[in-house]
This record gives sequence, C-alpha cells and structure tokens, in this order.
Amino acid sequence: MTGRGRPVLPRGVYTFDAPTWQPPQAVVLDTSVVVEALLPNQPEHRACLGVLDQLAAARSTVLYKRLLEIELWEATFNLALRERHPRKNLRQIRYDNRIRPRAARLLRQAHQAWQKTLATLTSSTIEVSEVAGAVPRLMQEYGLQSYDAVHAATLLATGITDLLTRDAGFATLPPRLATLHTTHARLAGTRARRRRAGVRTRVKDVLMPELVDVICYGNYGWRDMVSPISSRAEPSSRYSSRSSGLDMPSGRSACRKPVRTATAREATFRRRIISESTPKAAGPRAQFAKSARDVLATCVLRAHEAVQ
Amino acid sequence: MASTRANTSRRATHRPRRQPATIDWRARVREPTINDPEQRRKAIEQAGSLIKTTARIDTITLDRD
Repeated sequence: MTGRGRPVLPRGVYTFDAPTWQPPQAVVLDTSVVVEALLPNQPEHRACLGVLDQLAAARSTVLYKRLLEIELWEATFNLALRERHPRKNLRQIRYDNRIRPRAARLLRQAHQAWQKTLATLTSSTIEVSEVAGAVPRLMQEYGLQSYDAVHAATLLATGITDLLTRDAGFATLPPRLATLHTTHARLAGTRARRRRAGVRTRVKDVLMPELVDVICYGNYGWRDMVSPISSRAEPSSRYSSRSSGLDMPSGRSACRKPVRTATAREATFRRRIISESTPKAAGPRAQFAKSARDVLATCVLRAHEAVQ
Repeated sequence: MASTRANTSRRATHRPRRQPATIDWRARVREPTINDPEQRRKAIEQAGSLIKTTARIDTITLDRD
C-alpha cells in the first residue's frame, strides 16, 4: 500500500481474497460468488470458497434471496448443456433432450453442495416477493439488470450495505448504498466502473470506512492515513465556498485539475494533519499511529459537523 | 453568503435518502448446524468439490444471454 504516487481511491470496493480482509457482521451474497465457489473448474473457485470459509469462521450473517437458489439451478443446467456442446450458443441447444439425465445428476450434486454450504453458515433468507416492489425504481435509477436489481433491493430492504459479488454491474450503486467486496482480479475494473458511472462520493462516505480500518484493524501505514485527507480533499476545495467541499465529484477530471481556492481554515487544517502525521514529528511508529488516528478522527468529526 | 446557504440546503433536500429497512432479517437468522471448525472446513471443502464436471460457464451472466 505504500507505493509511489497517490494511493488508489477505494470507492467503496474491497477485495475479499486479500489477507487483511475482515468479514462484515452481515453481508448479502450474490449468486456469482456461490456458483464460482461450488464449481471446482472455475478460475476464481479457491478465492470464493475461501471467503465462504471466512464468513463461517467469523460467524457473519449471510443473507441470500431465494432467487440465488434458482439461479444456481439454472447455472447447473447450463453446465450440462456446455459439457455436451462446448462451443454452441446455449439458446439453440436449450431443448436438447439428451442432456437431461446428466443435468438431473448435476442438479442433485448442486443441491447437496448448497445444503452443505448452508450448514456451515449463519444465514437468513429473503423472499423475492418481499423486495420485488423496489426493482423497477432501481432499474430506472441505476440501470441494473432485473436479477441484479433484486440483489440491490435486498440491500435496501434489509439496511445492509455490504455485498459480496464478482459482478462489476453493481458498481453503479453509490457507495452509501453498497460496499462491494469482490475478488482481487476484479477490483480495479469494478472501481473504474464505479468512477465511470459518475457515482458522487461524499467525504463522509470515503472517510468512515478508512477510519474503521485504521481503528479496528490498524493495517494502514502513515502514507495511507495522510493521503485520504491530503489528496482526496483536493478536488473538494473547488466547492469550498459553497459546502466546505463535502460533495465532491469522484471523476478523473476533478483529480486532474486541482484548483487552489481552499479557504484559510481548510489550508491550516490540512497543514496540521500533514505535520502531525509525518513519522519525523512522531518518533516511534506506535506513537505516531496513535496520533494519526486522533487526527483522522478529528477530521471525520469535522466533516460530520460540516455536513450537518 | 445567505444565498449560498439556501443553495446548500436545497441541494440537501433533493439528495436521495436511504429508506429505512423494511425487513427484519435478524428475526429469521438460522444458526449453522456444523459448529466444529475442523468439520466446518471439511464440509466447505466437500461442498466445493461435490459437483463433478469438466465444463466451465460464465458465472457472472450464468450464460443467460
């Protein structure tokens, strides 16, 4: 994390196969992760199986909607079609009777595998009918596909913000609605998609997960502690006269043109953070970490005050 | 300055707000039936190798398209 240049903006997207990843208390499970975990030939099989093990070990509550099971059966049936017709379009071979005995065996295996997985997890089921009402609005607002919109509606209806998924399509949801946990291979793509979707990020949304990471897990170096303030607050200075920069655009254009119009108060505050956060001024690393935590906490509190 | 404040508050009013949760998922939480860590690990390993197949599918679209 302490590479050269500005650290990458998380945009509410994290990787669950990183060694420092901590399972959330409650998480909504997307079908793409389950299917990948249960099919041994898939490229991200180990990572997805590993995350299920971590969720079980941490006793996180896993929420899944009934549609997940139906999608799992559909994927298994398609697997039988793929075995017989590796290169054909599935629509054209959908009604090939010859694959049905094989599909039946695979469906039985998939059912057993899913039951075995559920036996290890603390879980809660959401029926599609409970969340279907919100689907049209989510499709209209964020351009989600129908099945994805059901997942998003599950997030909204349960009040949970953590979503375990491999599908970058959820990146159109703003970070305050969905914190995405994905595989390392899909991390950069998902973040880029969230940036392209033009999802506006508020300082509060960006800083709070950082603060939780620093306080709970202590896995941040000093550069990471300084950079959320020094680099991310930069574009917001354009709006300082209006709203203390608390509604900042997360697009690339905003980062390319840092406009120096920060108020004196902002500038002083930023200088203070940087001077207090440098290792030279702090002495031993442990003492520094404590002071940096305090500074970050102060910053978040000020951001909150300004928002309210 | 007064007009700036008015703008800010108007923007805040129009910002879409998160609706309160409507489903009490905590009430229907099912506890795991396998609690021993070693058995749990074995069960997850077994679950990951129960489906015997050589084929691959796109698990994002689930080959729906």
